[in-house]
Amino acid sequence: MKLIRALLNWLKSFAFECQRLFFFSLKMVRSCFGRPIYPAETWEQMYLIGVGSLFLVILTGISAGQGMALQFSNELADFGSKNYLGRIMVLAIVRELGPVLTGLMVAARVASGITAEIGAMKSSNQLDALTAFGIDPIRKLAAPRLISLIVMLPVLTIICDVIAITGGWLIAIFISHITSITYWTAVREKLIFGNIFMGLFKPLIYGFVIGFIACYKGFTAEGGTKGVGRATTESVVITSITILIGNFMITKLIFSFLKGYL
Amino acid sequence: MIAFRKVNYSIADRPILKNVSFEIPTGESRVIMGHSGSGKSTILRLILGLICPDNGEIVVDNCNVCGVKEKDLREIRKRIGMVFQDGALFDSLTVGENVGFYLLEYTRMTMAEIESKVREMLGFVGLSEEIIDRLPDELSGGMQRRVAIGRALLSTDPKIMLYDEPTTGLDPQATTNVIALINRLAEVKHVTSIVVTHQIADAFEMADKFIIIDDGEVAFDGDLKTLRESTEPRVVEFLTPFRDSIANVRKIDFI
Repeated sequence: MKLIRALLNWLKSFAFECQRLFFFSLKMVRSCFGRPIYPAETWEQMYLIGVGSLFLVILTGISAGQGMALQFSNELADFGSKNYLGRIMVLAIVRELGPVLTGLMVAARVASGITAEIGAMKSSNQLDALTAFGIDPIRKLAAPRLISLIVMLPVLTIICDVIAITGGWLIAIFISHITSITYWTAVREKLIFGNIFMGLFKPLIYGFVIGFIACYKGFTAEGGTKGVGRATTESVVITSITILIGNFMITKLIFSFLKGYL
Repeated sequence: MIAFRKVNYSIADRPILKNVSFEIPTGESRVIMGHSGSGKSTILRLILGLICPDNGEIVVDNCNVCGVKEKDLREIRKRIGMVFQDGALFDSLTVGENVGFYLLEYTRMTMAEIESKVREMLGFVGLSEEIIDRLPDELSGGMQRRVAIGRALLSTDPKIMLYDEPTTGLDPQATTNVIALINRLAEVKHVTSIVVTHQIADAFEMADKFIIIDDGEVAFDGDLKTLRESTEPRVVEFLTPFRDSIANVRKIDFI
């Protein structure tokens, strides 16, 4: 009996959380359109998210690109197919690793920051103060962050892709002894619409996921500083898991709809 | 005028306010007292429409706050200034940006005009203009409260001021200054004031009429004389430790 009651309570709270999540997502999407808009805040967030994450993304791109190129070139050499290194790099980096690694890096860096900032504002009544001034905190705080993430994540992914493929080129010419022309020709052959679309569609979705979960966790943080800390951790964990699971689902979806373009 | 009519409010089936009714005519000040967690601050949040009651009516200047559209609620809020517990200043903005927040958000005034109004307001709340570029963290508790009062005043020229624990955690000098400022506002600007506090000694310096909330219910609503004579057990129990304060009540001088 106790077990059933506990289960029912859990289901009830789960349903309530889903309902809250749904209405919050509606509010958040709606707040991105219409007035008032906050261009200064959005610009500031774009700078913080974009420029702030640049070093991390470059570092990730170069190490992932060089590591992948080294692994692939050794395996391809066994089959006498070293010349295909550029093609495989594009498939691995542009379609998969670029978006996922950039998403995870930005999730770790930005999601925690957003949740902590909004959560701290909530626990010190600053969100209520905004409301008391007739300002919608979701429109003022969440919308600029969401828009910035949706815009900046694809940009950061492109940078990560370029750096990673360039890193692969360094391995190709210095270690695998493939000519630059061979490498870049192979790269160009695979830079087609389907691959580029997949590589840019994913970060768009990840940007929304990171912004949405980070803001939601911040706005619903409860229990003072301890609660804000917990919300911050949850925010990073949930965004990372969602990115990893979402990556598979998006890939499957694109394979189903754009097979002829890949 | 602010009126609560049979207001009930609960969080997760735990009653916070039970059948609360009272009325505060325009221009009057009222101190709401009670133990910590008795539901005092909830009353202020209900007046602002930050939360909705389970049932009952909350009337602010003839408008029922419960169930109105967000747009109408915004209009009601424009007539209300709120000083939150601990000030709730925006910690990433400077003192100047905090005080001039409303003007920066809602008006097309130039920066020079806003700065001049901010400086004027800092003077009104008894603060030096030198702190205009400081961040809230760099101020003492008393200064933060006064900045918060300045921010509320410069927002909409409010007709109603709500203060949530304005003197809690302040040293005696800062407490005296904040109380004097609250009294001065009531006198000069004729605003309707509600001060929520559990500092009994301070309460008697800020108003002549009081409401005592005990366990979510109104245990007392009346003036000082009635309070002194009250035999209601909950009121007696609440005031017993402060009998000397009640006997020696006097209003402090304005700044």
